[in-house]
Amino acid sequence: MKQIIIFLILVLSLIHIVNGQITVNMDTNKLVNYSANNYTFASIDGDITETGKIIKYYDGHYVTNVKGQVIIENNGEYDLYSVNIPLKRNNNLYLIETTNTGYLYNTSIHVPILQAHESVTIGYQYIGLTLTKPHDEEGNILHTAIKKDDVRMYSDIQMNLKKGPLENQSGDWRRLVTVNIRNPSNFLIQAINIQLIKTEPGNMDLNNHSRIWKFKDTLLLPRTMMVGDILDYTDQYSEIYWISADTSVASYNLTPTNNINYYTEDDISNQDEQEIVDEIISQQSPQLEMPFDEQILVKKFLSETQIKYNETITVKNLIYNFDDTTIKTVVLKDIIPENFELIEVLTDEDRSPLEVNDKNLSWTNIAINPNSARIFTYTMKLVNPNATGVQYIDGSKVEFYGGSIKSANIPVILQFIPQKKLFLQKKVSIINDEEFLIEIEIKNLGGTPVENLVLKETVDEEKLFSEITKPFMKRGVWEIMKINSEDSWIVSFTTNDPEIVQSIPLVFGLPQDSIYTTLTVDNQIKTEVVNKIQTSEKIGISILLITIILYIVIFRRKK
Amino acid sequence: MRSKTISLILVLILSMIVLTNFVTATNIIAISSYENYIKLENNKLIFEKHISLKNTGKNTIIPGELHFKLYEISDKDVKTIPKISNLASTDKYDNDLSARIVTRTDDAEVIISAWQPIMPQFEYSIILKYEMEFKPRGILFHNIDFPDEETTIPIQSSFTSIEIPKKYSVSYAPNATVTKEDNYKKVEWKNINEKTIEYTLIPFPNTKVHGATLFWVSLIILLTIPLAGIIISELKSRK
Repeated sequence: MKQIIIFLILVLSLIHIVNGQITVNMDTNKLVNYSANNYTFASIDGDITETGKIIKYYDGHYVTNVKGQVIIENNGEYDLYSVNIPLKRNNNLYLIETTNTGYLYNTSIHVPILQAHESVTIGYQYIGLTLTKPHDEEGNILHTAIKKDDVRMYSDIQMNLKKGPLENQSGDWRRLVTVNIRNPSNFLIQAINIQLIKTEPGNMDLNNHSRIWKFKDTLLLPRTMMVGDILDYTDQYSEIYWISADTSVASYNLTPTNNINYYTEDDISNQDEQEIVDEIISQQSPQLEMPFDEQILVKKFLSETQIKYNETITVKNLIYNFDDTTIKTVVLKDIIPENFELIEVLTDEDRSPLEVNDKNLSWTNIAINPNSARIFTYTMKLVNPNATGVQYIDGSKVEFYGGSIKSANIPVILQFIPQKKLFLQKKVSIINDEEFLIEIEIKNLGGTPVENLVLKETVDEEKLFSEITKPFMKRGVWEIMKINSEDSWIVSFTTNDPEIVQSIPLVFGLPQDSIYTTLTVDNQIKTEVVNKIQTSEKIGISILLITIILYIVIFRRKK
Repeated sequence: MRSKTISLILVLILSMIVLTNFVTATNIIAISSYENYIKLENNKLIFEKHISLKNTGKNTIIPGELHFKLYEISDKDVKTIPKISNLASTDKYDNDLSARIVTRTDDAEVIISAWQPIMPQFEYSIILKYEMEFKPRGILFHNIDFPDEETTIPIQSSFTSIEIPKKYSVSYAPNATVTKEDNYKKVEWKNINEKTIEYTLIPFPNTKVHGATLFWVSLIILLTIPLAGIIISELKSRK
């Protein structure tokens, strides 16, 4: 039965095996889903494990800080070469290798050799801020990023090309060109794209070919040879033929495992300490945990939750005593987190002595009056220029009558800078009640020139479209040949179309996530300083002068 | 007459369309916080503005250029162009921003370029500093008004403070908080549109009416009462 199925498949595929060779009919070959029980693809197996945090901010921004590990195993009996797993790139998500294999790149995992029964382990970290969730429903970022159709693994294949002599068949000149591709391994090889290219004599530029034949998705059985014959009708003696084959030993099975925690911005407390105190006093604070039988509360506050290199932030630790008696000998312990440096302690030390030991801060003998709070403040600075992504600032710890409680950790975003490429600004100035001056500026803030862009602005056919400063292809469509790095391209025009005020023009020619657009309405702020002599002073001085004159007149008369 | 009425209606409708669109367009960005710190010092006003731009729309935006039109209104409502110096602008992280002054016929314009993209609901802070030549007018009392700043971007929260040397008394500052520091007096307004301050070298209390009015009315009364007495007694002696 098995042989019959294989036979039928082979017949259907128009391949026949002759003395260990597979001969393919090059005009009709198409073998995509070929499977034969006796033959298997080479395969890599492995796991992708991810742990970390994703915080959803402001209805649609995902702050990601995920660490992962991918293990790629070759469980077969044969060596694999150039195992290439291409990855979709997200401009706002940075992929960093945390091990030293050198196999992880921004857009791929590339293992040059994976010998039989060997495996490689690659550690990585994803950090950044994205507008969409960085993974699919399987919940694994790297697994989501894999371009599944483009995974390639290579093994040895042997290719050769035979160019037959010119022959005349009933007055037509032709030549037989034979392509041999041999699979010396004991597993299936998928020849994804085989190209036979012909160039004119003396022309070594393959892009400038005179003819090309393409054969896609052909299977090469183990230890067999694919033979393809092509009759090329030509009378040129010295034409050159080239062959290229994109093959793969295909099949991979990487299993995703996830342990990612999800948060929202609500988990990052942004209440100030006075609000917390007010809530406590009004006893309307169900969301606050009340440990220690509701005797004491500790909460940590940061002045900023997005922090740049060299920026100093203020840290406040609030301790609130719910009890009706004063509590004494409370100890507050806090740690300056990794990447930060203590700048200044602002709390009055006389009341509660402070000990600073390396990065550990410890306030002792704290006494807190009934139903009141003490706040301990210090400043710290981000000193590591390479620290990026999300970092959790550990909560502070309060020791009290032999027990201890800890405030919640606070996630912060370090130095997030969106990647810049093409910025488009549309400025609308209102000329009068009917007309608008529109200025569109496209600025290339990427590191390389951008070319062949098309800018499209929708301008109603019935409306005014005049005083256009750049020639256009058609109404509202401009072709931009090149914008160098840091250069701008500007066009302006006048219209009476009110719809234009709120539309954002489209730019084609770059991935849309590389383009940042903006709409501004002539941002003007008028600052007026009125500096006048007051009328009361003017009248006052006039009356004063008249009064003085009257005094003089009267006194003179008296004399 | 009828055609005039129709034209008027059409103009009104057009104005409403334009206004509606303008409002829609300006809904993409707002000044979430506008803090204006002013210091009066040796015939100049030193301005330091802390401005937080907030992206209130749904797309990433770039503020681009911010134009600050500066002018002084002096007597007879004449606009004068102030002399601006020591212009500097930075972002929150002390990165210099491109800033320039353009002097026009009726105002001076400070233009700041800010090309940092702001994601939706995120903010971008700018600090602008400049000095403006200023000669206070007035005989004994000097009055400065800072009218509500006209802007194409809505201001959600504003704060203004002015520091004046301690030798002066603040005689009038409605809706303001006045505090005394070691070397200066500070007048602060929070979310107040009309900001007026009157100050004088005469030791004078901060009252609810202009100090100049109180002072001059009192002085005139003091001088005219004896004068009136003299005139009345003169008239009686003639009889």
